[in-house]
Amino acid sequence: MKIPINRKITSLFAAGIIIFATFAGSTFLVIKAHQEALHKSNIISKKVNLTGDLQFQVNRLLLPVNRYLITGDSKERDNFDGIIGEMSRIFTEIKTLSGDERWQAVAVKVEKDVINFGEKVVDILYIDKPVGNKKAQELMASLTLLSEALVKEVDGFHAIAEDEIKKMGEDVDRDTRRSNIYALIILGALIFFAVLLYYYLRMFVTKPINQLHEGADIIAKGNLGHRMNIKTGDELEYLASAFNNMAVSLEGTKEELSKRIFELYALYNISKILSTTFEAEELLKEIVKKVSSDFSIEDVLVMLVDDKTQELFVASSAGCLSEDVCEYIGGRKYKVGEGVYGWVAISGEARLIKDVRQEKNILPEEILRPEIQSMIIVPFSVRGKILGLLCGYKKAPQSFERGDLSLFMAVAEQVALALENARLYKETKMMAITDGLTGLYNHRFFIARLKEEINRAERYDRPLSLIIMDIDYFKHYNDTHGHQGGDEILIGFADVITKTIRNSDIAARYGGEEFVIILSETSKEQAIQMAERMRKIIEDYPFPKKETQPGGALTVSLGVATFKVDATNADELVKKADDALYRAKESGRNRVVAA
Amino acid sequence: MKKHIPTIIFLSSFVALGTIFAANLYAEEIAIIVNEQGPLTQASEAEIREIYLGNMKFAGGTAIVAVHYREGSVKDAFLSSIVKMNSREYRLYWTKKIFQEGGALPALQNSFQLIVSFVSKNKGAIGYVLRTELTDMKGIKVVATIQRP
Repeated sequence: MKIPINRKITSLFAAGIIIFATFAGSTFLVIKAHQEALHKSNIISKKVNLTGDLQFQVNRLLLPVNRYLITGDSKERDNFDGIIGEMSRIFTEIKTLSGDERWQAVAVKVEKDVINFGEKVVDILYIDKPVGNKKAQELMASLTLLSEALVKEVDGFHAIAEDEIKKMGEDVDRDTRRSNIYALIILGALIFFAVLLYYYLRMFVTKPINQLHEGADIIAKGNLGHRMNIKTGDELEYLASAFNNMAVSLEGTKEELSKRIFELYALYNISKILSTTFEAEELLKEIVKKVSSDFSIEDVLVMLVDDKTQELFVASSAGCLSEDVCEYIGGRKYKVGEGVYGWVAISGEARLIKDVRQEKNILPEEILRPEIQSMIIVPFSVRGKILGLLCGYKKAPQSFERGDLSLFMAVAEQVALALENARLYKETKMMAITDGLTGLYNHRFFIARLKEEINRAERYDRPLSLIIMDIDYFKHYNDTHGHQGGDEILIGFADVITKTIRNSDIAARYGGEEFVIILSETSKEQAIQMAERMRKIIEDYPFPKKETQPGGALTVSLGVATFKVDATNADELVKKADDALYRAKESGRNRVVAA
Repeated sequence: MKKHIPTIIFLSSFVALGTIFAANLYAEEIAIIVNEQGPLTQASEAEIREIYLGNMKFAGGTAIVAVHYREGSVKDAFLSSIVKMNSREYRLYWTKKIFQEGGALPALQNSFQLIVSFVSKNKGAIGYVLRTELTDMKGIKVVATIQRP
């Protein structure tokens, strides 16, 4: 029931007024009843008084008669007139005092007898010579009897008045009892009303206000799940529902914020991975693992674009159910520009597929596994170049939201950054250990590596050989064709060396036109053979303008030394090989000399 | 002049007797007087009777107040000639009347002067006096004259 507060209060007030009016009305009635009783009692007392007066006058009337009989004075007639006038006045008043039948009946009788009495008095008053008159004496005696009878008759009024007094007393008693009962009833009603009012206000005003107050406190303390159940049907209920709505909204916002904070935290965790390693493969592995676990995503993949083949291949994956699936995925390749992955890779626009069954453009083989119902594909790029895709998969449809898209994009950015960092690291590392011109390892790396290799050779008691070679008459070539020409020759030399040596061999530029090759697991004889082969290849190699060199060809001199056989440490080995090279130069160049 | 004395005495006595006789004749008349301002200008004997029996109580919107001599021959003459009752009957009549109908007995005054004074002071008053006594008419007027029987 919807009743506003003002109407409730007005209703209560009206009820109070009604009760009060009843009280006032009944009080008025009681007062009126008492007034009536008072009035009645006044009349009754008047009746009693007048009755007494009348009786008095009846007796009084005997006086002038008596005197007349004694004196015979006719003046007693005037006295008679006065008394009879007074009597009639009293009697007239008595007659008008009540319309009661009984009263009027007595009045009629009294009237008749009082006239009779008066006539008898007049009879006596008009007797000539009354003094000592016997007849008059007799008349007087009968008059006295008559007066007594009359007084008794007038008592009839008295009896009625007494009855009335008795009745009135009963009435007053009854009225008093009744008004007491009324007063009790009304007092009861007032108390009941007051109690009702108290409980009503408590139930519908105080209690809900307290509830609101407490509820607001609870919500303010952070318990956003709290709801107020106020059903008063008025403004307080609206207020409570507004509070509830506010709490719902706050709760939603809080949840959203918690989610965002969690995501930020997850992102922070991912970004932390970046500092753990610069190895691209390891980075990707860690990132997909983290994304899968932190965001509760069943499968996460990183695909990379192979620049040469323009294909997307799976670089890293996490969360696969079985090894089979992982292997299957690992082998999958998607053409850039074809299919859903290819399209994202070429357009750079992320895709959020809430339900794969409703997406017609997805081929079955593009869905990771049959259970997958929703997926998200986000590209990542560095300087506008798309490097690959970050893909997430979930089994339940509609499990990705818009928010996830932005989150994935943030992660993808991290992936791109990580990959770029890894690439830069690798590049920097390479720059540090290679020679800028030839791309071969530099002198420093060579020395460090040689020591490592010697250590290993010594530990496992394996052979190790070293070749040092120097381009013959390189100064001549430089002088003839300039430094640029010389540099080209050096690059060409490095290329030939790289192609000639085995995978396990390490070639480095030792300095100027000198090169070194570390041959692990190689005996002295094998090293000499290797050096000889190198010498021959270079001699035959069609270097540009090699005919301008003395002897008509670009040749090298090579010195060979072998660890343990020729030397016991790195420095000694280099020295031995260098000495051998020196001897090769001395003995006519374009030859191999072993230490 | 002396010889005329018996004649004068005779004539004088005659005149005196005549005067006394005339005065006696005149004394038999009763005048009904009312207040000068009173509503009555004339009254028949019947009307006067009704007034004194208390049956005619108003005239021209004014309550009529009848006044009697307390007692005496004028009152007896008035009662017998106009009301046609003797004093006893009149008392009986009024005794009965005031008990049955209420109201007051007619007023009583002791002397001529008091009656005239009463009438001249009360607008509705009506009274009776001997015609011969009536010399000063201030405040009163005569509405009827009746012969004493």
